[in-house]
Amino acid sequence: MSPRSPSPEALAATGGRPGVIRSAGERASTFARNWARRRQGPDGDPVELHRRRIYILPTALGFGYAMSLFGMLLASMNYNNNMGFALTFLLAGLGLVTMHWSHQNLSGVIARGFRLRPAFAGTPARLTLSLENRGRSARHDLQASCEAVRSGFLDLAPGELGELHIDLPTQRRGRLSVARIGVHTSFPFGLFRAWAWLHPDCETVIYPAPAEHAPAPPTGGPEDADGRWDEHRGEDDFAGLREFRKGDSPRRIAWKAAARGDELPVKQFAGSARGSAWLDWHSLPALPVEERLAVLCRWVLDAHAGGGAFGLRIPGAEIPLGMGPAHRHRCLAALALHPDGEGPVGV
Amino acid sequence: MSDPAKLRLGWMLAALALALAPTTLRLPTWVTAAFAIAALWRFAVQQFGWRLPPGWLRLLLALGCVLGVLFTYRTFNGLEAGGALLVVMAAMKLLETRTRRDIQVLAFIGFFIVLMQLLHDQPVWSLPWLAVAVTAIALALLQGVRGGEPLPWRTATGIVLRMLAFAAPVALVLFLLFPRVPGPFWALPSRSPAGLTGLSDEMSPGNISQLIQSDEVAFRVSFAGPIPPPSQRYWRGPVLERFDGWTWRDLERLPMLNFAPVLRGQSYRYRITIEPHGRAWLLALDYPGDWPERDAVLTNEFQLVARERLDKVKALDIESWPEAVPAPSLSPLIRMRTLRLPADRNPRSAAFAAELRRAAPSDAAFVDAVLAHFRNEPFVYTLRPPLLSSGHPVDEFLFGTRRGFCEHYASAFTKMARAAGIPARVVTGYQGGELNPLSNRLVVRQSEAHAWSEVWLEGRGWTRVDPTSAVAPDRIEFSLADALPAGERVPGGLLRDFRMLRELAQGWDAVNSLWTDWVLGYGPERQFALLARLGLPGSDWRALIIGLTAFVAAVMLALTAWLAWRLRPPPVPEALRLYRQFCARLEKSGLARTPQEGPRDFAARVAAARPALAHAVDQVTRLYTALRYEARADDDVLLASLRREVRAFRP
Repeated sequence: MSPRSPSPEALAATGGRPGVIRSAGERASTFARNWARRRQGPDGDPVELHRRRIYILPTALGFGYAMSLFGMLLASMNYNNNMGFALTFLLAGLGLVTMHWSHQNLSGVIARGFRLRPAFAGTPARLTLSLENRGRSARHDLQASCEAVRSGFLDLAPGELGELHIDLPTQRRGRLSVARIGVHTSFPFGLFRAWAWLHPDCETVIYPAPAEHAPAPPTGGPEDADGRWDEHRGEDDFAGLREFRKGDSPRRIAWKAAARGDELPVKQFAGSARGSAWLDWHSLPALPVEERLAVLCRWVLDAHAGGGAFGLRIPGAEIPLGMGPAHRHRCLAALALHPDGEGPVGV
Repeated sequence: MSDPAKLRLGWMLAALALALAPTTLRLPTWVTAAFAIAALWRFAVQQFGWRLPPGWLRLLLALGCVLGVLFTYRTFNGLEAGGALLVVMAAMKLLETRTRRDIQVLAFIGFFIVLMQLLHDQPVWSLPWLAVAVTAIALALLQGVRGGEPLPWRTATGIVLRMLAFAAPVALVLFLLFPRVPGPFWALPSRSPAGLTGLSDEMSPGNISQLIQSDEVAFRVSFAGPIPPPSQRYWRGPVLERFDGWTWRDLERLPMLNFAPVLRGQSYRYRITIEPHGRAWLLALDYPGDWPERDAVLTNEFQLVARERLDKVKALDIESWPEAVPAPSLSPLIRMRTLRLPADRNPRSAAFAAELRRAAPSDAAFVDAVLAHFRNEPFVYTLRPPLLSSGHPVDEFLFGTRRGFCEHYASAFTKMARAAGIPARVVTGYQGGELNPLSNRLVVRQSEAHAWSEVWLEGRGWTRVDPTSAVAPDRIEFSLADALPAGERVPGGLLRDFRMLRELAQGWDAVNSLWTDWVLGYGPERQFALLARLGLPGSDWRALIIGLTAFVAAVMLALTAWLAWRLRPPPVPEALRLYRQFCARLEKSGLARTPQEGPRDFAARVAAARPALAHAVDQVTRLYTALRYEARADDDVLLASLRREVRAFRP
């Protein structure tokens, strides 16, 4: 597998048409995709969907249309009826025009801003891209797809820029890279489908799914009688004020106190005070790797929600005490890329 | 109507209704009703959020409809039954329409309904109707398969009309050049004769006067050269030889015996365009001497018969010699056939004929005597003759009612000639025709159907005798309307009384005849003539294919160019273009601007690296930023200096 092959998570979502035909079709389309990949090379950002990289084929409906036309032609010949010919030829002309129209509907669109957001295993990872119409007439029904997942439809007025989202399903933690994004359209009549393949550099990490029930962190958080971590209680116990540090939430700033002096005091709560702790792999009982990671993930989320500083210690990685969304991402990414167990996927 | 699903359905229903509209007139009422009910039902489902009918009910209804069609037509074969089947299929499909795919299927059914209507009937208005119906169905399809919300009405119509504007030339080229393969591939079930008007292969009193009620065009003739006078405009149709005392019938055809008419005198060349009548015979001016052998044969009775049934408009180039002498000698077989009479019918007229013959010195004198009898006795030419009810209709007419129409006179005369021992037969066809000054064509209508006699005279051969002319000479010299007694009207007679109406009618007829000639009658001959005029090499199929491909490719090229022009990116501003040129020169000298670097940062970096260039770079950058990011009045001046600076810039 090349480093940029489709990730198993995404492939698993493809579902399946069973049978021999499928495998033959699949092989042909894989061959076509690889050929296109070699021909086009990797893509930057932005990419222009130049006409030389737009592919077009009739859809099932298009084949049905062609069959109908053939039937009409036979009937017209049989009855030797010139008006029948006129109808058949007008529809044939319309079919030809449709092909060009579909092609031009996509040709010259600019694709940019490829962004893949992290997600927890089992929840969809959102892929976003923007399409820009630099032409002087509107484009319709533009759609993006990745693997078998499709975005919504987008219409672009002249000069307009619009976003498409694809929610890629995920199953396991690890690195998720998108090998290929398709941008397509079957406007106007659905008889032809024109598409372009993009190969942007676009990847993210899939965090482990957080455990639903987790034991308390070793250094102790706010616990109730059952030994469960009660994340809400921590917020209630006001413990005092401290100086503003970068990354503090504006909601925690004591604005009344701030109005009295030139410093920015930040409220500290018991929960966050006690949460400033090390979340340690070794403090957990001998659980399977994935379960340990799930619990650690839950701890990281809870600690982040608690608002206090925390650090993470797992075999092969140690992330010092810190706070804020970036720190949370660092910790979760470390969990996601932990090499043990079933191992990283999609890398 | 903001619900997209409802909009989609509404569009499709409207398009189907439009496609179906002309068909409803000839569909059985229940089929139309079934479609209307299904459409209303489906719309109510959408409107009130009902549930679609369950599968078993749909199956039951579909079965009922199919059986209904079978019961109505006794067959599924043929245009009528097939068409009805198509319509009930559309109705049933409506009841299960849920997804986009169903809408697509409905659109395809809609196209087939249009085709069915066109196969059935091709009047002039069928072309605009075709355009409108295709536009409507294409619009409904566009809205139906669209991914997003339905487009605004105007936008969608604009798209479809533009697409059709490009499809139309393709269609025209295909129409003109697509090779027409002659002949049907499978047997066509014959159409019900009720829909077609025309002569029949038998004649009994009342036949032709029924035909007179129709003002439809039977055929049109355009003459190359002079037009024969009205008295020579006898268009020969079926020749009837067998008589049972009441009805004249066509005998089974004899193999062609070898005697063509002796051609002499003046000839007329003309192209006759015959409306389809479902039978094989053609019509020609007496006596055809030259005709396309490929299409027609001449019978022993000098009647032109097509090799195929006339199911579509047929055009033939014929040359006729009115003064030709047909058949100088008579074969015994034909003599026998044209003398036979039923012995026990019409005894009185037989006796009367024998008496007249005895008094006359020759056969020709006998003919004159009979005509004189018609002229002198109080015979009346009328479209409303009294019914003949006895077993001896000729006797009853000759000695009783004495009121009749051409068929009565032809029948009585022929019968009397046979009774007098002169070979005679009835010829049916058309007599007359009205010249349309706009198209310069003779238009012959069903109301000009006529019947006359032919007798075989020694030394002269077959001689036309029109007994009607003895009673009503105006019928031959002028027209039917002039021959009829006051108070009797022919259809369309009103038109002839008002000049403006008549001219309008003539204009409409001219359009119709162009339509018939150039659209309905367009065939291989016209194709090759067109190719020759276009200067394409040779007149073979290869030339057709080459022409076809070239023209279609040209249209598609034009389309691509137009679409590309419509979607062209906006022009790059000159300032930006100049600045890019400037950056390209710097890049050549080793100072490339990085994508994230703004013009001023870049200028600063260049100034630091190459102090010698600092001034020029600063100048260009200032001018560029001023042009791009400041709104000023003196853009032209700045642009001119930027142009100068960039041109002079040599790093």
